[in-house]
Amino acid sequence: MEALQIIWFILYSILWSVYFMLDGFDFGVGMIYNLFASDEKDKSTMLASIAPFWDGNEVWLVTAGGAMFAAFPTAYASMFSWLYIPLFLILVGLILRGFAIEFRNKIKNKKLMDVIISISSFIPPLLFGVAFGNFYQGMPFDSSGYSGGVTGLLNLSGIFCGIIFVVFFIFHSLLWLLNIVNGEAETRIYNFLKKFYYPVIMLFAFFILFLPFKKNPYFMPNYISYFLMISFYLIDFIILFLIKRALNQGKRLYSFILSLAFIFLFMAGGFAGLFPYIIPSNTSAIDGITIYNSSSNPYTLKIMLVVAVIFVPIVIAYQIWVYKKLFKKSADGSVY
Amino acid sequence: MDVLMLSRIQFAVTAGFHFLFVPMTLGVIVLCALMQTFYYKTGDDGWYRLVKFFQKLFIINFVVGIVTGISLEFQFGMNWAEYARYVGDVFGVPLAIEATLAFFLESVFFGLWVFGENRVSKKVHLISVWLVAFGSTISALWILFANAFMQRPVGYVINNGRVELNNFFAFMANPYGWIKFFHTASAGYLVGSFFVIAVSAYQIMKNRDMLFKRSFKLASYLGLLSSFAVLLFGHLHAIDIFKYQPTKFAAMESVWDGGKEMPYSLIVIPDERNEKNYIESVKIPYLLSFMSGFSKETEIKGLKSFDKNDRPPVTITFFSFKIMFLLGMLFIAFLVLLSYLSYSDRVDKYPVVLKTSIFITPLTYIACQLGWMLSEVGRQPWSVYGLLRTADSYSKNLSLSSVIFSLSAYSILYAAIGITAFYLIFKYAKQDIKGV
Repeated sequence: MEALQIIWFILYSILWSVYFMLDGFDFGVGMIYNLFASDEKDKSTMLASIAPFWDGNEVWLVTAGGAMFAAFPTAYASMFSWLYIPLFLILVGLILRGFAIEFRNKIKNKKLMDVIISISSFIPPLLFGVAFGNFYQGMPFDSSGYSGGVTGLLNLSGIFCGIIFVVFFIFHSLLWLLNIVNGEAETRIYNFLKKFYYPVIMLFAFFILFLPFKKNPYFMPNYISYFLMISFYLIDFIILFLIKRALNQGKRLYSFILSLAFIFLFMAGGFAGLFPYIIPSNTSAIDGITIYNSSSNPYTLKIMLVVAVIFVPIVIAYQIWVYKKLFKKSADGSVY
Repeated sequence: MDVLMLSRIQFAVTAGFHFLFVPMTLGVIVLCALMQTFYYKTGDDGWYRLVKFFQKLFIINFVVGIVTGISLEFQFGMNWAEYARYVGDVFGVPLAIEATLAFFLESVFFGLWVFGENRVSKKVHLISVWLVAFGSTISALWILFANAFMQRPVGYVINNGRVELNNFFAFMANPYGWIKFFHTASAGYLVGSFFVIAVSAYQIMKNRDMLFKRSFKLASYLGLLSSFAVLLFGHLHAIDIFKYQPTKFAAMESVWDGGKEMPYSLIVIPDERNEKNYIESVKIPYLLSFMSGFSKETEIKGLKSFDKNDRPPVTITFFSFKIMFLLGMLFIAFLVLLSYLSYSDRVDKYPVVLKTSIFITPLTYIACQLGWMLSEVGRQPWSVYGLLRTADSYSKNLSLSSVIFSLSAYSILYAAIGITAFYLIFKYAKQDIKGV
């Protein structure tokens, strides 16, 4: 039973981490394409680069949510109902974003669509960051439920992680766009990236020094997960340097692939730091939601494990294959 | 208004809106896949132009379906936390499988189908459209099995005050799920067919391009087949409801006093307050008993034999069912006519028929919504039939103001999206195919 719960925690962590690794760069593109495009052609090239992918990326969110519902229903119910307003705003962001990306070239008022895409790409990562910041440092709840309200989420860890998510995803998307655009916009992005690289490193360093987990008085990591967390973060640091080197050597595709690993390990480190909690409480030692007190019964976990083991690798295989087929530095910026 | 009622309205609004766009996609993608197959087999570029034409319309609906779908999955946790805690062990399973098996398939190959035409071979491109079609239909399968558990829970035990899955195969063998899947998927094919029929009829009437006689014909055939399937599985569905959801059955037929040898009344108007029917006439003897159990001795339970707290809202359940049923009959009759005219290649000679087919199309959308209302309103007062009441299912921690905020914001947002989407659907449906 315990082994199954741990396996499901690992799968749960992987699903969320892959989600941010993939949707992260299309959030970033949505946030910044207006700032880096010289003209309409640039804009449509940048948007066309995420158009075939954003919905497939978002399915990882749906899968993470569904897997959480099936594997840790109590955690799913508590997390989603306690974070009602921020989650609702995230959903509004996701709805508007998908809608605007798909309909931008069918609607006359492109300026309006640009504004909608920028804002709706900014809100979800910001609020996801705030939410994860709160998970990291623990939330004030006991057996009678969460007592912090919406404003209670806007604490130092929450805001800090919100900014980190936004900055990391912008960084991630710049590396993606470097593989997409040509001409002036390309130079602009490259020059900006060279400077933007330093705030990214600094924020990450602050994060590790600050380590929101430690703010929770009931933070009692076990050695293995603590070790994993530290190693993931350290490897991530090395990856940041590798990205820099790859950029200097002109290996742009490689630098984006490294950036995928960077986001993935950043998220994975956070989950390792949370283990065995899904939502730790910082006001009660015994009411924290762990994988042990919130999981489904072993039978459900087993059934779901069989499904995941068979189908997730298949999904990954065909998704990579389709990415490869559709990924191409375009010269004309044509949108369907 | 309390949090419970507002959460129910919010679920109805968001699910209803989602369901305005999704059924159509089930049918249209199958028609696109068929037309693309003909193109692949014959090389006739007329089929290719038709695929491109309907692809645009499909995209609009598909995208709205995707973006409005995510909020549904999240709502179970956000607004219905007690429900999620109580049934998550079972109910989360089909949702997670749906995402893994169906959503990835649809979304990833949708990208390849729409954007990858020049990046892959014709054969792979054809396979991708079929995979989108397959993914869409099996996503319906999984979500309807989740729903089937709410209607007729099977494969579970009650343990530690919640339901736990104890037999996945029993869960998957739920007849309610299979019947409902075939009923709903074929309804989706029917809506998609009518959509293509209406657009083609418009184009034929404008004398634009007689190419549309092909899509008209193909959609008429698929529509006709689907409409029979809807009726067949609808009937099986009703029998299943009779056996396992007696309160819903009594409400959809508005039977107050049950018994054996029950007649079927053609004209009925329920009077919920006085627990009777205002009007109940043109009775066909024994028919209700006979339809429910193939024997006039079949005993039907009336609404009065159930506690008032266990009855669903009768008027809504009854009218959703009856109007849906009548519309279904109308569709069959009309599709027989369309198929006949298409077969003898004469549709363009009857502008009245073409025009009528355009006006009938919105009715298929209404029929779908009514079917859904029947299913979910008729399930009340339960969220899981016989196990958990809707009133015990919602998130107790929510403040009234947060739900008022979310419901208002959803309504405004969806109104804006709905208006834009339908504006675009009409615009592209009327477009000249030469400009595509």
